[in-house]
Amino acid sequence: MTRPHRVGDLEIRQDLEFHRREVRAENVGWAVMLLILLAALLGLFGSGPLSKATAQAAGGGLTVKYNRFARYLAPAELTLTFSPDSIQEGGLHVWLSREFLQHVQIQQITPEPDSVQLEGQRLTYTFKALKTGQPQQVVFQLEMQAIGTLKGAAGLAGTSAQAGQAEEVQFSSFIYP
Amino acid sequence: MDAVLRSAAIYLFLLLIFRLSGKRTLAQITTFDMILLLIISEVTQQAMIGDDFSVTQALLAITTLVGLDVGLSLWKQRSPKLERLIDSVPVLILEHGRPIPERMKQLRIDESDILDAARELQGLERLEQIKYAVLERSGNISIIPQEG
Repeated sequence: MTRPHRVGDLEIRQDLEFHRREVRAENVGWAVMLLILLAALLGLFGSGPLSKATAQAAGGGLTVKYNRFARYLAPAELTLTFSPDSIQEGGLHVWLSREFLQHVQIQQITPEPDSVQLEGQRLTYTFKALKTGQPQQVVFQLEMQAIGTLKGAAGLAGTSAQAGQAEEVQFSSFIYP
Repeated sequence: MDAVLRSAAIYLFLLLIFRLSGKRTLAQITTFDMILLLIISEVTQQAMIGDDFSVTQALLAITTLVGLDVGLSLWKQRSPKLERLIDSVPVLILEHGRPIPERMKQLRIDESDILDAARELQGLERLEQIKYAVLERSGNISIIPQEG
């Protein structure tokens, strides 16, 4: 403890220089708070326009909509859109990387997959689908189970062998604690 | 482990944001200040314990908060600089019946706040009856009446 100074008749530990610095720090702090709020509204910390991202496979058969920014234990969504051509005989075969699936918990898949197959570093989901000439959509509802950068990949199973180009999409999310 | 980290993060964040918001902001001047505090505590609680409702988690969170508080108070006793940084300093805002406008503006206090405190604490009627008014570190205004 420093000794109290004397101001008039008052014994008080007044420190006007510190007071001035404090006022300045407060003003800076308010500006920072405002910036944080603006960033949050824009989606820098989760849901919002800046957070929405889309990745398309080279062949155009698969489009993935994902959250660029997500939050730990909070819901997130992965939307896969398939072009009409990507429907093969017997349905849609789409794989997701194990690396990604290990760090998320799948709450729900709409529609429910017909079967799931383990393939090393991938998990292939098969959905029954009719060739209607219209694009199809599958939604994965997720809960993030890791903190930090999470890389993922999705693709159409079997495409690399057939058409000579891999229908594969890479995406990456940052997950806030 | 995460209870300790979560509680520590919340403690430090609250310390920072309450400090930056200023002494007066949540000094419970109005009813709404109290409501705001209640809402903040509600939001905080979720982040501290997550979805683990075990007694252990609660005990760990409480121990972390109280432990940090005790640790910080011990550190503050040794370091006046840290104490100043965390607890701020008292500021004189009125001297011999004359308010000091520059400081009052910086602290977001007006004359009616001083009169309010003068009435409540000392039963005084006018500014000229006040010898000193000080904005304390707690955010309260203390009043020393004019003698005689």
